[in-house]
Amino acid sequence: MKQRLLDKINSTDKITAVVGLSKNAGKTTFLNWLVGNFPKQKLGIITTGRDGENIDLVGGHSKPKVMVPTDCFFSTFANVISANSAKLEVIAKLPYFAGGQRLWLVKALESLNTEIVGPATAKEQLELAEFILENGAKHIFIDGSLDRKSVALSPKIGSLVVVASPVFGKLSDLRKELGRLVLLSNLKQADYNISDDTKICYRTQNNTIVSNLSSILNNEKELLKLSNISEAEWIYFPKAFTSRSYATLKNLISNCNLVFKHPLHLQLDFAQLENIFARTTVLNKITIDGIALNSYAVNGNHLDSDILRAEVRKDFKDIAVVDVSEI
Amino acid sequence: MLIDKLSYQAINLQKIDEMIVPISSIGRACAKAEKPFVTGTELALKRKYQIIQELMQSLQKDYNFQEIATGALKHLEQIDQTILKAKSLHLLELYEIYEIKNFIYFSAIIKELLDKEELSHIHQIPDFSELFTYLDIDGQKSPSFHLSKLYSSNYAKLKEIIADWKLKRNYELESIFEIAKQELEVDKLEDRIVVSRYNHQLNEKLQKSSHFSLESENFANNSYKIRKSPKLLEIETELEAKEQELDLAEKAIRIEITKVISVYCQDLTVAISEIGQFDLALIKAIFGNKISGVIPQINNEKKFTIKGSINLPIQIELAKKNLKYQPIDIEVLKNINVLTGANMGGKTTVLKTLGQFIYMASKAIPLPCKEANLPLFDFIFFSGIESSRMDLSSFGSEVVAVNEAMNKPGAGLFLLDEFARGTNPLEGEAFSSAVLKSFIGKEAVVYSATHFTQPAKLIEANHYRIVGISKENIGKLSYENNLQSRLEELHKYMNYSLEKVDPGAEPPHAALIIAAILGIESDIIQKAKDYLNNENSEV
Repeated sequence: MKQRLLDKINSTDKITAVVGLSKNAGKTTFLNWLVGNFPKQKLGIITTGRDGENIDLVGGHSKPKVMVPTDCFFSTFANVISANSAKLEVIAKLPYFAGGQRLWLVKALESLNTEIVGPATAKEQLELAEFILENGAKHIFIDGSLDRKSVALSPKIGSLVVVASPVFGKLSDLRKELGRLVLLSNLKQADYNISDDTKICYRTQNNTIVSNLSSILNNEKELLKLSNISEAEWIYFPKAFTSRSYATLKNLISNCNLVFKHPLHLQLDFAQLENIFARTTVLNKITIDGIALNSYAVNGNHLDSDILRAEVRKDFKDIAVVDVSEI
Repeated sequence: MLIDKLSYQAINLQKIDEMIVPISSIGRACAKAEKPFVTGTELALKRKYQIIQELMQSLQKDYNFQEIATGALKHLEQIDQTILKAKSLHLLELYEIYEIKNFIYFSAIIKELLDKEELSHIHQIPDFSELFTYLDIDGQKSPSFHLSKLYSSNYAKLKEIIADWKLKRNYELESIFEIAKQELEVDKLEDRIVVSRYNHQLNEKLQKSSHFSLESENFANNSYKIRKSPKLLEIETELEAKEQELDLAEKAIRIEITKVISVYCQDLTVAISEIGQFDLALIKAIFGNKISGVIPQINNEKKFTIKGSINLPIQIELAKKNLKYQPIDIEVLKNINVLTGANMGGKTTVLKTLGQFIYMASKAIPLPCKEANLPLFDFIFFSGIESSRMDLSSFGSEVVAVNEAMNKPGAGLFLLDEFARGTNPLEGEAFSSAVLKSFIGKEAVVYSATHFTQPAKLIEANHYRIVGISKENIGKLSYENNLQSRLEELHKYMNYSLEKVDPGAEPPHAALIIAAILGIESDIIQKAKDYLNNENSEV
């Protein structure tokens, strides 16, 4: 299973996002295993904020160091460079800051356990990924998240690996959420001509109408007032679509086709998603290369590792499900 | 100070400055510290303009010049603190040595470019090729930096020893893994294993194994970690000791590199200054070519001749509406100048354009016109601004500001926009004329846009007038469309050119026509006309 996951990631695009289903899901432990076993040399690791610090600044629990292999590119603070002067090559002074401190791009001349620090915004993370690829990296791993501003929403991200732990909740909740994500990844590519992907638009009476609305949040009533919207063949939503919008627009969206910019914009529960699934397409598809499990939970909600592995594997037979601490 | 903050904003100089931002932080610091050329520095300004002109020509001749120069400047940052540290022989950190190497790598590209373009006389960047060879000891020919084994045989030897110990450690680990795999009868093994507490068989095996130890346990799982053998512990102790030795050897190299760099500190400071100046001059030259600008003649006589002047911020705004800007010829041959013309005729634009041109010339920026001959001033004053002071009325703040400007030392350019319009017209007219007369015989130049008649009659002043709309074109104006269309029509038929008129000529009276074009109801216009006719007949 582990080899299947490595092969799958190796065969996809050059940027993979490792996203946690919740905070403290075990991304660093999984990343350490991933970069240590990945078949390609010259990797790049990008994180959001700090990773590998001794103590979690929010939770106060101890955190694993990032294990960086030889020839791996990463960004970090100046003091980390000073502490590892014999093991690093300084590649560039970056135009990004974290916590008010300047970031530097370095390359590991030998393997080391260290702290890596990345820029805060998705835009900067993607710029950095491009820059690292220009400097010779063969594959980039971005330590991401699943929030609405996540780097995972960018079309430049080739694939995702979802890291899940019982910090998220009960086993049934965890399986349901993974199921929702997998369902989102199965949404088909949209085949409509969307001229402005920043505005809500719709097709009605053989005309495509671009509205002035850039988000449906709190604009549901405005949408219903748009000309001939009730006869829409399809409607495109550029940003988040929540359960509240779903409830308000239930009648309107019950028959027409729906187009979303990104699957992760669909913030609906499993049942709502299933209702619209067949009529929904997306501009930017996501691919889930694998699911990484971690039975340990910092909040004490541990799950039996055998049961966790077996149940999730039973749910997702077509996806590589791994637990790096499994033998 | 060449210009106060309020005048700077009123003349739209920020928009111009935003078009001329140097590429590197060094250039931007240079721009911030740049002092304007004022009266008495005409020769220095001419030399500066000569440099800009040479750069403009080189940019026109060689299309790669701009790309190479801006590409290199993008990578250059202030390294003053690092130079100071090296100068006082404070040990440089790895990233600081990188900063120096990166600086000399990209400064060499600029130096080479200036040599190729035969421009090395304008900015003399020192040669750092020896220092670069030293910092690029592996011959990577890149700005990146690491401590090469070639710097010290001791360092190289320690690195090799450590690599050997790491190999031994890995071999020992592999051996433990192999035995453990056989013991557990599995193909693959991780150094940390999590097993369900209910998997009794595996737990029993792991607990019995001499190669694993229980790391943690909870109600669901047990976590095991590979147990280090005495041999592995011995290797790790040795490795740690060697790594400490390596730290000392690494520090010794940085001490040596710091010493070498310290020798170049003076040249590095010169290079920073030259590159900053080059960046600033280059961006002015790029701007000059972009706007098809010219290098002006600079005179000492406080006289202006500008052919085809363009007010850039207004031109940009008009272009957004697909409207064309009409370039204007402006001359200033006496020190007192009065400008009259219909409302909406562009009087304020003429004043602002004059202010922009003197400001740009004082910073050696190419000018947006066909030809220019200008003097330098010690300060620019623009009068038509509301003060932020709460204790003064609009008239009060205008009077205070003019009074302060008139008492400033040096030669000023006074741009008075409908001065004294904020009080009763009779007194305002008299006061405005008196202020203009006070400039007679002074070094300052005053350019006053007004609707008053008396200032226009001053014989010591040159009187200019905006040509405006011809009677024939007034007849073509439509009063039916919306305001935006009417304004566009007005712009189309308005002739913004200046014409010189006799000192005694009456300013034009076109306020009612303009008000009608702007949409005021016709009965109000008619009442105003009736009122004017009654006044005239009473007289």
